[in-house]
Amino acid sequence: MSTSVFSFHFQRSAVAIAACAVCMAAFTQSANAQTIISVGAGAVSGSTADRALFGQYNGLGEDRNLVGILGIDYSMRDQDAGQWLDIKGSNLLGHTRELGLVWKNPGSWKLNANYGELTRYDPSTINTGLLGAGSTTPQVVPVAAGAGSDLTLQTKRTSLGLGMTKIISPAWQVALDLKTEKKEGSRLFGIGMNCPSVIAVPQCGANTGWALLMLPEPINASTSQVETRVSYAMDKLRFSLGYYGSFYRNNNDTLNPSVPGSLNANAGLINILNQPVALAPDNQAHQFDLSGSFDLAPSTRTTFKLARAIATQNLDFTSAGLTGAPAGVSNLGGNVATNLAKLSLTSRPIKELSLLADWRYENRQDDTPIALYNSEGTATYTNQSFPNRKTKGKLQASWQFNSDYRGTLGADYETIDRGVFTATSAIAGVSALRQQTQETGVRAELRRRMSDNASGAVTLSSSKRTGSNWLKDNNGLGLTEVTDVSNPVLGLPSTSILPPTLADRKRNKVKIFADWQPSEELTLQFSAEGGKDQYDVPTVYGVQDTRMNLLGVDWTYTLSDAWAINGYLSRGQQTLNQALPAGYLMAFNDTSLNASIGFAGKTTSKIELGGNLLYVNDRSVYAQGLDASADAYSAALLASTGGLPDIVFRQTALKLYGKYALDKTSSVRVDLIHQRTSMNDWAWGANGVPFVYSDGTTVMQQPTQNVSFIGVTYSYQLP
Amino acid sequence: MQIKRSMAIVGLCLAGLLGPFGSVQAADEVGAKLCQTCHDEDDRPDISKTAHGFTADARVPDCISCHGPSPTHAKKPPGAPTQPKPDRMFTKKSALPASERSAACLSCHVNDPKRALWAGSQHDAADVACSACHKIHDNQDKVRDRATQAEVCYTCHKEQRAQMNRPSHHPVPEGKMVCSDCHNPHGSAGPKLLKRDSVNDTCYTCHAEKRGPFVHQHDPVTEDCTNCHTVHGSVVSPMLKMRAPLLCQQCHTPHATGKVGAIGAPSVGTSGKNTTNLWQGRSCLNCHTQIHGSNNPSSTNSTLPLFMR
Repeated sequence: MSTSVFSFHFQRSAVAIAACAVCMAAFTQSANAQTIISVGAGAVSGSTADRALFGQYNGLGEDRNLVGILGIDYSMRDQDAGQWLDIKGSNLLGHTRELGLVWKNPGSWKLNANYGELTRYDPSTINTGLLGAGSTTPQVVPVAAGAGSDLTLQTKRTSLGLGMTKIISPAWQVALDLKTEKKEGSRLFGIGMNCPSVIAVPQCGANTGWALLMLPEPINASTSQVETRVSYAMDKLRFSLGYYGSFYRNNNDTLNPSVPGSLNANAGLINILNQPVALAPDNQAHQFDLSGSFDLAPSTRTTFKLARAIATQNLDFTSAGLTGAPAGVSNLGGNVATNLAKLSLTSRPIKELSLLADWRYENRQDDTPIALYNSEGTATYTNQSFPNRKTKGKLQASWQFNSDYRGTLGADYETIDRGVFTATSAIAGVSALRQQTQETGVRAELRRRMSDNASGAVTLSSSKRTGSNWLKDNNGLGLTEVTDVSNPVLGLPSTSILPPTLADRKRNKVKIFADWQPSEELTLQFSAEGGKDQYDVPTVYGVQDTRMNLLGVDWTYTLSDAWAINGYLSRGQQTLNQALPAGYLMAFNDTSLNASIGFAGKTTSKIELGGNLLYVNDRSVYAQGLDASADAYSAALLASTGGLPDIVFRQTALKLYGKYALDKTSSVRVDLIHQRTSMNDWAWGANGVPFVYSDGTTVMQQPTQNVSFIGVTYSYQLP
Repeated sequence: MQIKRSMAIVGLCLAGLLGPFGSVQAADEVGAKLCQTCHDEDDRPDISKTAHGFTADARVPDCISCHGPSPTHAKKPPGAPTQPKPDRMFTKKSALPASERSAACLSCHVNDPKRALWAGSQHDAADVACSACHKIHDNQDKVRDRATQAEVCYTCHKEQRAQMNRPSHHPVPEGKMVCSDCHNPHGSAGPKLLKRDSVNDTCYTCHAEKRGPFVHQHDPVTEDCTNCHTVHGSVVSPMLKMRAPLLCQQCHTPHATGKVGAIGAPSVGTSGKNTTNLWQGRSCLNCHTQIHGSNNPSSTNSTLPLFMR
């Protein structure tokens, strides 16, 4: 159980900001101040299920159809007193309200404060018999599918930030920023178990039985961040010393479900399901850094950053309700230190030539103590250390051939060393790991200015990644280096799957960009990208290759001094080929079409109109073939079901607004939104058959969601 | 009549005095005042609400600071066919190299610690000048306004625009987050111009519950969140690159009855590791629920290293 590091009282603080703002406004009435207040109301159609995707983040996902609108925009500039004050507030009557204040004396000091709320409504509707959903002690109550109560999960973030900057002298500056955010609510989560189990023999016993349960993860935590920086700027040298601290505090240590024996006859299974689930532990991180730049010569500059960070986690297991820790161990003692050094040199020795050299070194040392946390049957093994050392280098040269042509050549290098595998630990479910990978790449770019109205660029890049020998699972402690992957005894099994993040890879990419303004009215932009990752692994399983391409055109057209239209069209495609031993040969293909057209203009000096129509069509295809060693069951399953249906996400969103100036100080604005969405994701159900948890819980996302919104806002500028 | 004559004489004298005096005064205008003789208040856009318009601040630049002295633009040389442009132009059609356009801004802003790592950063190396994103002569600089910032970034970053239109996304289209909440476009020590020094550290500013360290850790999680997540948007919640079990099976060996993907299979096996449980619901996470790591220390519970409690 923990409390926030910074005890900000959100509501009172927000009121304080507002009160302060009013005082400031009253105090500076004689200055050049402008205050615009906006009030209004909005109505949204449909049920929460209709608005599930539309209302995820905009506050319109909750169970009400009418909303109030309140906003404030205050700005004051007092040149005589050297005072600047901005106060902005939006959605002040809703659950996504924001209020911000910037008060400064430019060139001397600055204060800023902001308060914000953001509620995310999970787009799924859950039907369940669960009691205490969202608490740390939910009670599972089995029901027939669809016979429970509806539940919508949400998480709410409430944040408060304060900042101060003081310019002490032309050379010295100090800044301090504090931010704290509280997160409350619950999110989709759950537990499951299958018996018998080779890893849980004593717990499961010999009996069969399995269960999956939907249990929302209870969220009641806060994250506080502090950042301070002292900066110094001389003629050629600029540097700053900084500290960043981050503190996470979770008021929930464990999730303790209550699962009745009536759920399944296997008592061992029920016992496992009633075990506590550890939630995220309190943790904290601190970083000190020195960064800056130095001018070696008028056209040569170096930038640098040195940093050391320490992240710790030492939640007491017992007080958190977590038992069974190894003897003598009361907390993990998590301690990870990261050192960073970055140095960059840019130079322009002659007018035509620009050079860049960049080097980055990051060393993560995992000093978390090792202890016998793990058991499998009678075997015991320790937790694992995760050190990581990354070195990156970049060289680049650009040549300005003439005013129209500029060419660039670059070379990149990256090496990652993940450290020696903890010999007293073990892995499961992974064929092999790799300690080191290194990647080298080259880039070439040509930019051409065809005319005053047209320019373009072509970029080609190619890189190759290799690594150290694979380290295969010993089926016990540690890993063994494989020096000959094809050796039938000492090599890798032919059914091995090797992680694509570690595998040898060839990456090629091309990018073409062109800007063209054929007339004063019309501007066009063309873009085309294509890339391929080819994995070179010793087996035919796992990810073999991935591809992407994206074509797009953007345009704007000025119809007159008062009217303009714009739009874009883009089509992207991603493919992936992946294989599973004795299973599928998956050819995944995602095609996405995005089209938009918009307009804005004024019919008269009083009437302003605008709008945008957006269309998105995304189709994911999961085309499967069969591996040569696939069994008859898999073959029959694929033949009888046809495999996995395509998933299509389609959305059309029309947004219109009109603004009428009643007089010089007031206006009325009408906003209209109509959004139509369809999505046939089969994760939670297909063909009318829902996915049902063991207690009868179902999760549903309405496949077709149509929603309309109308808002009317009156804005008045105070005298 | 006499009064009128007197007035005329006084008027002529005054004109005589003011005329040449006035023209001498115009000829003596220097610096920004010279610019304002043509670009007067009616011609200049309103920047009164911007930092550059707050003239009480001694640091505020004038026309010359950014555009250069531009003597030939101020006074067209005799014989020149057209009036030459100012020394430094920042429009799209400007032939001035990006580095020189940015140099005008950096002459003041280089001292800002948030721009300390600009030189050699991705935008600098890609010849993106300050004026490519910022509109200086405008009270509404779109890229500095949270409501319109993403629009400016999408001018070049088309792939991210398409991804944001997908159903599982950070709240950027809703205006609750902006690109600069994660990225520092002016230079950083992190990859992809991320604000903090690594992908994970940037994610932890809002998702600190994933930082750990945990008793049981998941390799790809500790290394890089983007090993599994595509943070700009996905059709697979929560912003996954690929849905489970395909994502998990890129690294992990299978343990399921039926190793093909299928929905509505008539006979899916009696084990809990059946086709339906593997491909529907939360897939692998139906059981392996603590995928980001677990701090459960129980050394007698063998399900823990598999992220099940």
